[in-house]
Amino acid sequence: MTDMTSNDDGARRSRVMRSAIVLGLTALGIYGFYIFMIYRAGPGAG
Amino acid sequence: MSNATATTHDDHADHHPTGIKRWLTTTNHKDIGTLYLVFSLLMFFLGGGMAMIIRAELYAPGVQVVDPGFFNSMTTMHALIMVFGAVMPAFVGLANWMVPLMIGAPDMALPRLNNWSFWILPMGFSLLVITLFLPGGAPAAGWTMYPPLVMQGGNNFPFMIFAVHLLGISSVLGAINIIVTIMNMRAPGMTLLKMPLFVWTWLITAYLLILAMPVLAGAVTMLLTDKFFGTTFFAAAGGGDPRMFQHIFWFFGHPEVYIMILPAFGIVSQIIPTFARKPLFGYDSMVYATASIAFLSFIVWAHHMFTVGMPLAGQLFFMFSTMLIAVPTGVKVFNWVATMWKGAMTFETPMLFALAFVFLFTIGGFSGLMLAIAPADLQYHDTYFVVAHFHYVLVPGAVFAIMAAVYYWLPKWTGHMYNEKLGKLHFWLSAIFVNVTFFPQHFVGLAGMPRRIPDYSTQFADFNMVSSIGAFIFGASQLLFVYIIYSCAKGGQKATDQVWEGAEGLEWTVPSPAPHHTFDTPPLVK
Repeated sequence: MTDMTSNDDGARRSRVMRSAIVLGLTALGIYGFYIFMIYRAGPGAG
Repeated sequence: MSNATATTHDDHADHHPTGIKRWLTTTNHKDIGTLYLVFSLLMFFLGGGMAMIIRAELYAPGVQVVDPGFFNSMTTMHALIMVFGAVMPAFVGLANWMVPLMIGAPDMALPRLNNWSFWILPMGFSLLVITLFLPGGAPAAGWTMYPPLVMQGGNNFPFMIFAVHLLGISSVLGAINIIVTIMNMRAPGMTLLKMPLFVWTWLITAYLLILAMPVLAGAVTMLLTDKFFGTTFFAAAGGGDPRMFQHIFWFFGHPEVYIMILPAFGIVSQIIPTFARKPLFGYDSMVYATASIAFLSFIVWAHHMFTVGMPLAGQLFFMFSTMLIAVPTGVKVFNWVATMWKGAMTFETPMLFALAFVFLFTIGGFSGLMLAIAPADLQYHDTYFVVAHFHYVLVPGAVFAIMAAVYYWLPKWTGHMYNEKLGKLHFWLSAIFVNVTFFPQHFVGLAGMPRRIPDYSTQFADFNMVSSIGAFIFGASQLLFVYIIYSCAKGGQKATDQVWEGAEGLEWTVPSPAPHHTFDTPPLVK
């Protein structure tokens, strides 16, 4: 588990990268939901 | 608040590229903040020029200045440019400049990503603005891009969709950067509930951006596949439903409204205590109110769609949930007033803009409550009353807060005091003529004048003429703003480190102008 109180540069950098990746994946996940719907509908669907 | 001493390393600047290369490759939060703010100012004048064309056409009944198709392009482009090009980048620019300074961080957590976030923006806007020169002209179906009308956009359609994607990517990357900076780069001792309100409001806004922008991207991707790849999400003929687009769009669109106003709340919460020379009243309640507004913003979207038709239970839910937003917003307004109560107030330009914000944003909030009443909205919907409402929220609301912030922090950025007399003149011209412009629009709206139409019945002529005259003077007075900023950057009375007598916080402990590198050694917050 990450020590949130540590101000060591290495620990801070890994916290930054981890949070950035989680947030980026959250945004991609929300967008992915719509892309999945498009995939389900498929070209020429309807 | 802090015993911090700013460490200055101006000699580092010697190793930085100069000229255009400096601005293209910079990873410094202050440089990128400046880029965002300059870009936003350019877009403010581009979108403002379009507003002048709109008001020139509406000066008198009849179609006399531009053809109706171009008028529709102007209303659409004005909105897209002002929302995504002027207001949002201005707040991101302020966040870039001030968040690291306020939390005692040396820079943003991800500086290269920061550079990329900015430079995507002019690329996206080039795609959008270039549509003005395409055969068929710029997008004209409104900034809400409702199908099926938007599908008739012709050549501009894919340009607009790609531009919106780029603007969304830029916003999400910027938001990620702001969150990780605030969560990981705070100076020792700065707990979450010691953060300045501007930082708090931006933290919450950044979460809104991450949750809302991908929804817009999804909606416009679906429009794109409907147009070019044979899907029929929004086409009734293929089993789809155009109303679904409205639900998805406003699920993004209403949080977007708060993305444009929460940082403004933060700015006003910084400025009022400084010039009232008192701590902010009810700091904790301000934080919780901001979080409540952010949560509620996701469950009110269909109040934009009462006239589309929905079950009674839906109307009641969206009506009451919308009205509920007045509670945390009221908490904020009362806290600002209570902060001023018995304060030793002075009225420098930032304070004047902040006070005008409190008065005039509240008018926009009240007309929003009127629009929230489902049965009444059937009358107001798509009239100039709505135009008056959201312009009160966005112009004397968001834009005045941005101007207040610029006057407040300009001495810290440039090292000089701006010309106070000219600043006050700019304020009074803006405050008077913003009301001359938008207040009469309530009346023509209530009388039934529809929005987005270049011609109108002669009964609306007088109020429209007044509104147009107000808009021309308001627009012209913004040139004064540019002159004040330019002359302040060039020279003037030297600013002290603290700048304002009542100012508190880490940003006022560094020299004015703020050196290229600050807080290389983290300050200790008590």
